[in-house]
Amino acid sequence: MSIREKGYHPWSGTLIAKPHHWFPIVRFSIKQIYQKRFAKVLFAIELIPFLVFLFFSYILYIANRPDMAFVSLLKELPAEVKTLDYFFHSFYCFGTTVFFHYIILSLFCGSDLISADIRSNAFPLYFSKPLSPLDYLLGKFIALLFFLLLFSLVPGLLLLLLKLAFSGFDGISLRLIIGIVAFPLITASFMSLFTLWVSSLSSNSRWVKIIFFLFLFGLLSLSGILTGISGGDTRFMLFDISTNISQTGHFFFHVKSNIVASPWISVLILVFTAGTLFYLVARKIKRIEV
Amino acid sequence: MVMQAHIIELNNISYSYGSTQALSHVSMNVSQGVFGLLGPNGAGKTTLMKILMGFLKASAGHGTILGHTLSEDPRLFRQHIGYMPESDCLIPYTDAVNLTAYTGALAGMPWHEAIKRAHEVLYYVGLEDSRYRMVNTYSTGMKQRLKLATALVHDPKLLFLDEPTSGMDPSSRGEMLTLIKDIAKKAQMNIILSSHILADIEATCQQVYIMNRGELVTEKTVGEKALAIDARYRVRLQGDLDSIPDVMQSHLIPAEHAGHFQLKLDHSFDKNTFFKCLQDQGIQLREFIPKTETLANTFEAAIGENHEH
Repeated sequence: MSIREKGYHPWSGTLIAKPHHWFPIVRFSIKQIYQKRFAKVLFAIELIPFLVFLFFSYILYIANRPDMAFVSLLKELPAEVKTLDYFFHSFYCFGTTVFFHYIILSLFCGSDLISADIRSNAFPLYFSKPLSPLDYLLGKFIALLFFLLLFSLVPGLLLLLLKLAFSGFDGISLRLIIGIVAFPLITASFMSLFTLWVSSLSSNSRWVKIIFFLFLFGLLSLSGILTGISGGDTRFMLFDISTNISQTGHFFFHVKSNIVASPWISVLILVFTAGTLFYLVARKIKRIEV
Repeated sequence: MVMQAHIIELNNISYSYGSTQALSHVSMNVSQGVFGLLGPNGAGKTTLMKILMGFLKASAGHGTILGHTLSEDPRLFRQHIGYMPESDCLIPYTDAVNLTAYTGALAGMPWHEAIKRAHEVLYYVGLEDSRYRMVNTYSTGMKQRLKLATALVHDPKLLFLDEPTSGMDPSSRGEMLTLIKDIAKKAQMNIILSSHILADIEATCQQVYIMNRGELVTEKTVGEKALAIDARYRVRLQGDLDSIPDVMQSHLIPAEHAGHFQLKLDHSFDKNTFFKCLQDQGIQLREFIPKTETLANTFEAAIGENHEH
C-alpha cells in the first residue's frame, strides 16, 4: 500500500497549555552537541582535570595516613601538590584549571548554537511556534551551561564527596560548599553568554571562532599593555577575562591574590558583563527578521 | 478572546519597510476553507502572512485571527497555526523525524507524542523512506515536503503556505498540490496559500485574493464553487424582450448586438429560475454559451487596472 493512501489523520492528543518552550530547545541542542563528530573524544579529554585532582587527592590522603606507612611520601611531594591538601586551595586550583577547558568546550558546544540557526534561516521554524525570543535564548543558554557545568560543577561536587569519603568533614565548611557551587555557576554562565553573544554575531561558524579568540586574546593583550605602561598597576589586569575568573576563584575560595583590586570586583564584573551580554543577545534575536 | 464567524478579519491593515509601503489599507474577511493570496513578486503577500503570524506589527489598521486580535501576544494563537515559509528553514545535521518532532514539541506536544506524530506526517507527505536521512542531503522537493510536515505536525487549525511549490519540478509540484487538496478535504484544515502561480491557486483554492503593490486589488471565487455561484453565460434571446421581468433584467447585461446579453447567475437566480422566467414570458433562448472567465483573465485585468492607477 502506498503510504500516502493512509491519508491524513488528525492528531488526537492535547497540546500542553503552558509548556516550558525552552525545554525542547535544551533537549534538542544537547542531543545535537552530543552527536557531533569527536564529541565523545573531547568529553573524555575534559575529564582529565578531574582525574588528575582525584589522583592527587588520593595521594595526599594516603600520605597523611600514619597507619599506611606512607608518611615519608608527604615530604617527597612537590610543594604544589602539598598545597592541594588545603581544601580551599585545592578547589581554587581545580576551578581555575577548568577555565582553559571552558574555552574548548564553549567553542565546541556553543559557537554554532545561534550562528547555525542564522546560517540555515531556522528562525521561522522556532518563531512560528508559540515561543518568545527569551525562550529561545534560555534554551540555548541552558544547553551550553549544561556542558560547562558537567565538566566543572559535577566533578567539583564529586571531588568534594570523595574528599568527604577520604577525610571526613575535617576541613569542609559551608563556605567551601558555596564556593564549589557558586564559582562554576557564575563563570560558566558568563562563558555561555559570551559564547552565545559571539555566536549571534555571524552566520559563519569559522568567523565566530575567530571573533571569540580575538576578544579573548585582545582583552588579554590590552590588560598586559595597560599594566605595563602604568608601571605594573595590576588593577589593569581586570580587563582580562581569565584574570577575572581567577579573581572570582580567589573570592570564593579565599586564596590570596597578587592583584591589588579586591576579588569581589571581579565577581561583579563577571555578573554585570553576563547580564549585559544576555541583554545584547536577546535584543539581537528580537531584531532578526523572520 | 472574541468568537468570530471569520477565521481572519482584517480592517485597513498597512505596513511599510522604511519608506517603502509594503501593504496599504488591506481589508478582508476570510471564512473557513482554502484561500489563495495571488500576486506578482513584491505584491505584499509574504508581508501580509508575516503580519497574520505576528512576526510583524501592522503600522495601521486592526484585525483578528482565530478570534484573537492581532495586537495580542501572537503566542496565544501560534499554537494553532502551521506555517510553511517560502525560504529554506531547516536545521541541518539532523534527521527528518527528529526535526519534525522537535517542531511539534516547540508547539507544545509532549515529546513521545511528537515523535509518534512525526512518523505519521512524514509518511503522509511521502518522506517515509528518507525520514532518517540528514535533512541537509534533501533535494528541493523533499525539503518542501519536510517543511509541510513540520507545519502539520501539531495538527493546526489554520495553515499558512507561502509559495509551497517553489523550486519544485512538475511532478513534485503536482504531488504537493494533491497533498494540499487532501489536507483541506480530509483534515478540514483552513489553509491560506500564497503563490504567484495561478495554476496552483486554481487547483487548490475556493477563493482567491489578488494583491498588487501592497493593495488588495480584487477577490474572486475559483474552482467548482465559482461555477456554482458565480457563473456567467453569453445568451441570445428572441421574442418580446420588453416583457423581461425586472428580477431577470438585473442579471442580464446587454451586449453590442440586439438580443445578445451577458447573463450572470448566482444563488438567488440560478439556471432553472432563468429558464422558467423565459418560458413564462414566451421568450426563445437561441444561444446559451458559458463564458469562461479564467483566473488568468481576472488576474491580468486586476493587475492591469492597478498599474493604470
